[in-house]
Amino acid sequence: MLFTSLHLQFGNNVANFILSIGPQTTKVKDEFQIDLSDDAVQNMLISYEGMARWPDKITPFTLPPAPPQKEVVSKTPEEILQEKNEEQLQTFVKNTGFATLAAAALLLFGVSTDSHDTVSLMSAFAVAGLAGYQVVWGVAPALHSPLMAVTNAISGLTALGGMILLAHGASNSIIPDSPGHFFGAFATGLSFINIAGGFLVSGKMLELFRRPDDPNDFFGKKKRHTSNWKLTKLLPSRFTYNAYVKFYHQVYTVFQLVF
Amino acid sequence: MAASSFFHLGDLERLADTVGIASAICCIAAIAGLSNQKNARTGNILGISGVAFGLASTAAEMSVVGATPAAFAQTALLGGIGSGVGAALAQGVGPTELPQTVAAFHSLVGIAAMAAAAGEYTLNAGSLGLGTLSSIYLAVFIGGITATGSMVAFAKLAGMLSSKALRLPGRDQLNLFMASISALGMALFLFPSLATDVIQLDPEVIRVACLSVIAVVSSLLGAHLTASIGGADMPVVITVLNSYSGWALVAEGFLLQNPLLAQVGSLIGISEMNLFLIAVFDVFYLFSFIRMLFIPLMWCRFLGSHLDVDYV
Repeated sequence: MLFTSLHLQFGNNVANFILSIGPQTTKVKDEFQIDLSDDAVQNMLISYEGMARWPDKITPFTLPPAPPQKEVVSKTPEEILQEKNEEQLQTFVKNTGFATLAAAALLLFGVSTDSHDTVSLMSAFAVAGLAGYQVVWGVAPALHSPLMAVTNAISGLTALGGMILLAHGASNSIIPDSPGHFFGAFATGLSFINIAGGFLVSGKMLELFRRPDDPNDFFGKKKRHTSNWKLTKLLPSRFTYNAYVKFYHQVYTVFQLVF
Repeated sequence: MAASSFFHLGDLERLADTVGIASAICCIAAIAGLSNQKNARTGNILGISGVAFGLASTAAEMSVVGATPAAFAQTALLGGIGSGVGAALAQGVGPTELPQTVAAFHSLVGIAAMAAAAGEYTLNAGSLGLGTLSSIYLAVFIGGITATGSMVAFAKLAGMLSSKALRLPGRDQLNLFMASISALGMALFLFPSLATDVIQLDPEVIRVACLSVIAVVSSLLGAHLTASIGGADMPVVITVLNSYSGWALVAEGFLLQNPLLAQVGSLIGISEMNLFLIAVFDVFYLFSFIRMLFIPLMWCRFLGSHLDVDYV
């Protein structure tokens, strides 16, 4: 029973397929005609009137024309040397320009400065800058984010400014009593948040890079991020990260309204 | 150092400076340590010790400039509270949220730099030299850009703001306008006599007005610059903002005549700028050391036009 119906269905399909080749565009009934103006039909014909044929829109494969041969420019050693010289000249001009700018800036600084302390500050600044320039070249690309986190934490040294402000002209009251002290207290508190949080975050980031076969560091616990002791458990929920996110969200809603 | 202060061993001021050198070396070594996986965690510890040395040195310096016990108590209290809050915030962060947390913490540095500069001005108003004044102004300017720029970077990374680049009509003109207001403000701040000839006002009033205006304008500028950049480029932007906070530290170091701040600030400023260049090197390898100086002017346009991939 099943086989009968299968055969019937397949025969039906074949008959429909052949009839669909018939006159679809001319709409003449009761005759079979291979309708070449029908795209679907002419694309599936492989032979017609005893001849092999390609569908109209497909051209038979032929070898692509060979690419034009490039002209080999032979350079004499003098020309190569001249090109190198030009490159060298450009680098030279750039570097000289930079050196001139730097020298001019330093001269300006030297003329305008009034104390020797500032000059030694400038030397410290320049040497540390060179150290920073050199040190970063070796950093593996995967470690760029942890490096950013660590430098961010180090920049929490803004606390120094706040602390010195608190020390200057200090009174005996523990509550800041002048605008300067208020600013100093503000700066100190925020910087300490950054120092503690920043180093914890960078530590967490670096823990993500740890492989199981890495040797022990011998400072602190081996796996800090799996520690059960969490400060969040000791603090009310409004100090958690999510609360922080919500707060920022509110700030940004206001920010968007203002713009 | 404690021995020095209690038993009068040596000179506390010189000792503070020496510990400052140790701090700077530790900070440089921290960045150097992060160059490969093997030393990376040591680098983190070195960073912590560098900051700890810096804080110790400053505590000694506080006592040299004559801080009262109340000032130390304030510092300890604020330090304790701040560290607690920071630790609590950092503890609750999941592995995927780490980059935006860095950005969020970073905005605090910007605000702190602004506050410290403003505080220095209010404490010593009227008796400041030209160099100090320009340091104050630059610290507030850079601090403002860093603060709001990092906030926007955080909001984009955390998905609070659309990660699409904001394209205000005439955004270049807007940036240029804000930059010129900043330049004008600096001129007025350094030489209030320019304005007192026209309007009868106390020079200090004009300076305070300039400082407030620049705080607002630089904040708007930072927010707008960062909002004009798509979310996928935020890590690169955070590098640039990090570098800016380094320059803010430098300004603060020159302001307080503190070599440690100048060293560490310069270290952060140049190393992060260099990191930024390395990060975009495969996109643009045409950078030279000279162009590095002009990055602050061009990074917004550069990122906006060249790194603009499809932000989904």
